[in-house]
Amino acid sequence: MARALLALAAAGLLLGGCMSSRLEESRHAATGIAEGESVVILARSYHKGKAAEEKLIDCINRRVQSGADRLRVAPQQEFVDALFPWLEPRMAPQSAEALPALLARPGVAERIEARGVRYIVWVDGNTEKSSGGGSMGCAIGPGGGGCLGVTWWEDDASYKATIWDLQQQSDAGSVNAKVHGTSVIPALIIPLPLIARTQSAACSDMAGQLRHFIAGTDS
Amino acid sequence: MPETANTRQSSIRAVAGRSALLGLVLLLAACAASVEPGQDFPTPLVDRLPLRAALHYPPALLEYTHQEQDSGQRKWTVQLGPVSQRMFDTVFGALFTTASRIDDIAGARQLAPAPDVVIEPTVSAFELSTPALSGTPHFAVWIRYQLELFDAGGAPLLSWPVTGYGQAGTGGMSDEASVERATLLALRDAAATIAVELPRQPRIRAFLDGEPVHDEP
Repeated sequence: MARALLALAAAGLLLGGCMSSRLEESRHAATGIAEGESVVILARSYHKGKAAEEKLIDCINRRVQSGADRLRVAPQQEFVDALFPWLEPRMAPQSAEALPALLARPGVAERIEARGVRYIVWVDGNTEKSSGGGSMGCAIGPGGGGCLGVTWWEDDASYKATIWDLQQQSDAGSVNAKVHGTSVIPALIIPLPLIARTQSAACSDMAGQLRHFIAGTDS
Repeated sequence: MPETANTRQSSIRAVAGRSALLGLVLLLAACAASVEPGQDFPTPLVDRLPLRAALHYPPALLEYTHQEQDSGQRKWTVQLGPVSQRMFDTVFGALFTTASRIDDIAGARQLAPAPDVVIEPTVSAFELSTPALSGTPHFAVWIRYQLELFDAGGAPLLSWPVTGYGQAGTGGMSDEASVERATLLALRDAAATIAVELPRQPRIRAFLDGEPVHDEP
């Protein structure tokens, strides 16, 4: 009996909650990436609004450089340090129109070229809990313990990646990923968590679309 | 020697006493958090000013420690002195043709060649915001430095407040690591401001152009 309940809980974790996602792309210019060229993925400044979570940036970094159509990704911190202070939150250019001025600063273009970075991808947005409810009670006694009830909540993950082409010194376009998820934990003796991993789904969607967008194979 | 009931009782009391003491120490440790950022700073990619600088770090800067108790009764200690010193060494080392440390302002006169400017930074404010206080999932740190610049003769050249802000999420990190990260980001923010904005200060521009910059008495 206990084994069956544990297996049910494990299955719940694997199944996850209910999710719906939407992916949108806006292209302003043709893209493509040559052998030896790379991209760098950075979080937008928290000085200007909602900066994406470090965990999400790490996730996109990992997923963009995996799979058959993977891209070369330059290490983000090393790149920001090499261009210090020009990509710090307060100093980073706010639009692609400021790219020529950034690249004209002494040493900046040389350091970018030395790292083979062709595209900067700026990610902003966040994951928020939008609503929730229900109740669950747990008790333990001499004869054993258990829980009874149901609790649920909804998460919204909304992220935007803006792609700047450093070679063309222009805004190549953007990719938007929105994921809505409902997580439920029903409990009849043991809780059965059905968790919607919205941030992870947004990361996966965003990374896949970025690979196609930058390689120019999305259209 | 055979163990008697009394010695057994004493041993039990000693063990219980030690356990209670250990528990108390662990409890106190859980209620206190100390942060001392240890990272180095990247060298700013900026043009050097054609000036020699002497740097005076007063004890108030070198020993600066911020302490506060947050709303969750946790006592925070942030050691800001050593990391501030490393930040200023890196920034001024990149901004000036030379940047030499002096023990006091008068020591600038003994330097050869003589410095063009003497810089004395201090911390004038430090604020720590915790998730419990802000209702956000971030720790935030705000630092304000006061930079006093003098010419070679000791006359005031520029009095300049510089602020730095940093925030770090709590996801995947301990609270101490988040505060350390937020402090480091605030220091980087201040360093970036100094590296970019100091050469643009009107009084520094005028000084470089050889114009009079001292206030009328």
